[in-house]
Amino acid sequence: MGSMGAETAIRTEGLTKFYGEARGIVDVDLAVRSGEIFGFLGPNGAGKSTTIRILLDLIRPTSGKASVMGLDAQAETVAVRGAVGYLPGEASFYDELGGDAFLDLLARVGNRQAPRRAELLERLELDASRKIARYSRGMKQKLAMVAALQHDPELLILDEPTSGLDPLVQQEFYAILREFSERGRTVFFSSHVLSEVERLCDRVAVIREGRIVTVDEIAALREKMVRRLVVTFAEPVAAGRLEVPGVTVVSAEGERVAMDVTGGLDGLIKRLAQFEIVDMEFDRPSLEQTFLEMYTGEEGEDGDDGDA
Amino acid sequence: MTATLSLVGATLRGRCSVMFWFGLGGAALALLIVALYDTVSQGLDMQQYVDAMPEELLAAFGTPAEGLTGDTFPFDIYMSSQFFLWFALAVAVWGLIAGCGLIAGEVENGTMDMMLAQPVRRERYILARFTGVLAVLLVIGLACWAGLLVGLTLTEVETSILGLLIACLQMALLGLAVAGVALVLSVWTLGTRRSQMVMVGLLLAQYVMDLVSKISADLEWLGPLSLFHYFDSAKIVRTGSADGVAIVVLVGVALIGVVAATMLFARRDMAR
Repeated sequence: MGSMGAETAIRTEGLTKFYGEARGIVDVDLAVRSGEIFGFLGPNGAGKSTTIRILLDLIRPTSGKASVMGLDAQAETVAVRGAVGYLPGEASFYDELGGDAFLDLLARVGNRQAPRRAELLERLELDASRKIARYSRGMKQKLAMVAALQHDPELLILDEPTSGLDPLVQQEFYAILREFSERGRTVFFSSHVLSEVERLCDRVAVIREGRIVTVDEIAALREKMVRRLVVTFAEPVAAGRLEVPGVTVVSAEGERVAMDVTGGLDGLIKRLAQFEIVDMEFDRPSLEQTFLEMYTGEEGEDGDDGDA
Repeated sequence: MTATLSLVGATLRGRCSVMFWFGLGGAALALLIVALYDTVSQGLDMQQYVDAMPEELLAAFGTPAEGLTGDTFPFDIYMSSQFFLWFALAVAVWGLIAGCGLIAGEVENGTMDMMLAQPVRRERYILARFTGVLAVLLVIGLACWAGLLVGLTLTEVETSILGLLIACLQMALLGLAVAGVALVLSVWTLGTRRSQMVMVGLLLAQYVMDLVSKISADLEWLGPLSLFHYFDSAKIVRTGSADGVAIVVLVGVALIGVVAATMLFARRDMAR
């Protein structure tokens, strides 16, 4: 038995799911700390949704264990879901209901209050009195957000949450998530949109073909990234004069030198300061690059749909 | 309790238009058929009617020849052959559609994820949903009874109002039994169309079994294997009392279906 004040919001050990012969996830080990925004990154079919669906007991693991807020995700599933708000990527509704009626239904079914509903509806500028059948895709996504957050859960599980949202609403949604986290609540944020994970999350787990590739701080991941720097000098500089740890010269054509840089920049900047520089182009490090390096040429090979 | 009532309410809201039109249609049809009784009964030469139709065909359509001996069309046989026979089939088909779509439909359209992500036990969820179906069937049954009562005020026929009520409610029970079996298939396959295809086959087989058991003495043993066998509306209207065995069978089938579906649902992966 666990408690709602658990230090680890989500823990999985050797979590494995096969759909018949098809791979869902294999030996997934995760530990999400309470109060952090944890990114769960991977291409479609990598197993993100499978993991989430096991946490919510929508599907049962083939082997391994999962706990949420210190509670066994299978044996104590009702208590787990009582502590969780869930936002699916493509939420579906009862179209014959109004937005308000749907939110009421969820609150009553879960036997919970909805203390944050009014505030969220206002911030997301959603008219909940209209019938859901008349909602646009973006409005439905907003309604799903309110549904996930209205009862002020301890843990928010988001599965590709921002698809269909316009940029302004996305910004408001990110702000809501940050405030949520600042109040000590935990966010488990599944996405294949790397920029939003980079912007929001404290740590990230990368999943590929059902297996966890890495779990790290966002800052640490950036440290591991390769950045491309192109420097135009006032006069030609020999590649050998730019030898600094963590720097590899890729090409040197006259005054223009391209180099890949990993780790800190201090040594390189000090070396460059010895020369007269006309121009510098520095690609900003992004998880996108790292992500692509991890998955180069393999994104299309994920046969199983982990979203099942 | 609030959760259960909310789910029952949601099920009713989702089937509001079906409940309204089915109920209204049943009531209107019942009223019309009862209101026409005097005219049909008095204008019909019963002997000519019996002579014109093969005995087996009369039996198949719920009109046993031995019941047609007087000058008038007996009310119980008239109601059985002109209303209950057809409307019970329609109710059974609705039970099939509702039962097959109850869980599979929600999984297919994605609403199940949102609902089961709430802190509600799966057992409670499916039972509340099925209770909603029961409520719809009861409303349809009671609407038909109301139509029959209004129709009776327009005729001179004397019959047991309680018998008509029991017939209407037992018709709803027939729909519930079909929905119970359909629910098992719905949870088993998690596909509305697949479960409907199997259920249509089963229902058709049941209907045919009931039919042939009435036509052929050699195949009479097939009758008890069919759910339709347990809805003898002519007998209920004639005696004004319920057939306890038939009610036990129909309720039993519905209950077994719900219990089996609930056990299956509690273990089932909700995967689209």
